[in-house]
Amino acid sequence: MPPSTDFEFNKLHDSVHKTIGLSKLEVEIIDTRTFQRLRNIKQLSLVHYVFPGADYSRFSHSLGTCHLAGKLFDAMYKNPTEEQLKLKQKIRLAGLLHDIGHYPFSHTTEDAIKQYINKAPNAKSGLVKKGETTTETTFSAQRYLDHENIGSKILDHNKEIRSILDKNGIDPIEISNLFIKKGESPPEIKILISSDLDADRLDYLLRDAHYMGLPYGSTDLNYILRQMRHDKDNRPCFDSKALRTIDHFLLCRYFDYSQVIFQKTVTGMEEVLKRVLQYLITKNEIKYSESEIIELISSGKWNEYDDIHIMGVIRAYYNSTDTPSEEKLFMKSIIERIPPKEIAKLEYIDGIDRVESFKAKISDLTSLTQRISEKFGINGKHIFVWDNGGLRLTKMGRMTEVSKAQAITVEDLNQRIRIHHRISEDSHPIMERNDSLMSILADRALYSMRLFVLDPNLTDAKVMEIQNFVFETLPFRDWK
Amino acid sequence: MDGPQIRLKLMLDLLGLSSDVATLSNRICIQKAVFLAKYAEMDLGYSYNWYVHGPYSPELTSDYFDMDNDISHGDSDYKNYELVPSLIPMVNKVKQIMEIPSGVSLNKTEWLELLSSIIYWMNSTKDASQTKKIVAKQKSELCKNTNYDIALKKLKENNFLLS
Repeated sequence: MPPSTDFEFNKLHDSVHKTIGLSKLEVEIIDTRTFQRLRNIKQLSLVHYVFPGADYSRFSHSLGTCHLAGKLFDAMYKNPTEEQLKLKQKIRLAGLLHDIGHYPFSHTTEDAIKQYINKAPNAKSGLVKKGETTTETTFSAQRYLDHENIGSKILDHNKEIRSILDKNGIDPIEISNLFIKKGESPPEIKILISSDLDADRLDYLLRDAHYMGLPYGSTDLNYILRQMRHDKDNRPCFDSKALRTIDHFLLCRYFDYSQVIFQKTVTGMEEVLKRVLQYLITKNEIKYSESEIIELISSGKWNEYDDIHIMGVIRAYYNSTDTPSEEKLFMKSIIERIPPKEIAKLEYIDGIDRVESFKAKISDLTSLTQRISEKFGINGKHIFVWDNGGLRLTKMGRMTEVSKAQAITVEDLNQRIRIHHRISEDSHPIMERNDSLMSILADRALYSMRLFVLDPNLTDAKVMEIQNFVFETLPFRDWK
Repeated sequence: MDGPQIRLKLMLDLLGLSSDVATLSNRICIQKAVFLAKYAEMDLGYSYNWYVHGPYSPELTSDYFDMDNDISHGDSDYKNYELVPSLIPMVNKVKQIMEIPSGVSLNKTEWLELLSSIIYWMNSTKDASQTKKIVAKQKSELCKNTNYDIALKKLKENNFLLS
């Protein structure tokens, strides 16, 4: 049976968007135990250790994303047909469910798993360095599932959610393809869920600003929505009047990341947490393989796999006499909020095609940790490097070089915000408009890395000594 | 470039398939080649569901876009690696089944889609006649003339169907 298109079946009050209307189908999904689990997954992991207001959950963010996906749809389709309203339900559902597969501590755990299993490729995983030989005959393609793919598994294997979708004649893959980054979906609707200006980004920026009391996410949402339209080829775009507002929105995201997510203590604590999580992976306390995840989902244990559960595990290991003291120091840091000390910070803005040069610097700094350990008598495990991977303002640059353009996919192109041209009735990506800030900034990225030491006995004098050693050994000009 | 992407890139190179994911046709070929590899005892760990163009893995989608992105940003780490020798016969088995036999009126993408669809439904239903009915209905364009029978014969001859 097709779902009802009454999006006011139930209402709730949200601190950011005020009244949010919900359809019967959405209420049923929200009431499932798997969706309720999101109440115990903090949106921003440990950011609340520094910004006390940043303790909202993925539950409220998911409701907000569902609401904004509907608003974006309404702005695009002013007088929708019954068919289009069914499409609206699917888009809202994708917004509601886009984070359903997040691990406890969200991206921190995902990164910890990724680093753990993607360490140097080896013969067991089917790879051997050129020139080397191996006698390995068994092969195991160890892979992890990211949160979007876990979301897809939940829609497929969770009995409660699956039966609600089936009852309403909704194909789970159609929904998961909307929220999976590169899932195959019609571009005109995918843009509402996965693009430079999608419901997810809009909600988390507004929510971050609201909860943290910071100005960075103060986007003029209603103005942006009012300026949505289609170009002559029926592509979604924005009236040129919204150019400044959209430049501002993209800058908001840049400042939100650079000031909050990449804040010194936040990044230090996140790196410490990552090490704790990697220890727990070796103890089989963190599940990540496809078979384990499907087992968790099918058995219902996934519903208890949240931040609270993992904090309980961390406390149990901290109190255990079997846990090595070097691991306990990381756990103590998380439990008692004892951040590591920042020794050095390298930060600069450069072209988005300079990632390799950035990676080389990270590699140089990482190689230095062993020497620091020996020279200053600090446990090498407690010296570590954080990096931001290169923060870009838009998912894509301007692509003026032919060589780059050849590697660009249609899906990539669809993620760009398009601005309507009043004379031609055509639309162009914002970064190709020479009156936009993005025309200058879309090809740039903020590259940032830090060296941390976790040692409660580290004196300021020792910090200075290590700093001097780092600056002398690696005379990069961008140390800050 | 991480291990899974390196492994995928090397396998595609050996199969003579493009790792350029800009076109739907290329992406379908990659999806189906990895699916076929699973039945040539080279399971890269991706799980498949039925979708518009037959067996489809969202996780693989993420991996090949990451691979493409890394390569386009100058990451050439894959050039330092080779697949372990024990995997080569398995890749060759896939390469062999990918060759379009005479009498088949399909292009490479369609051929791979037909082969994968037969395997998918054969495993789901465990019933040859039901599989033929489903594939003929879902993929009527691909099953024209004797395409289906030739594909089934080739899959059997090359041991791609679980007994």
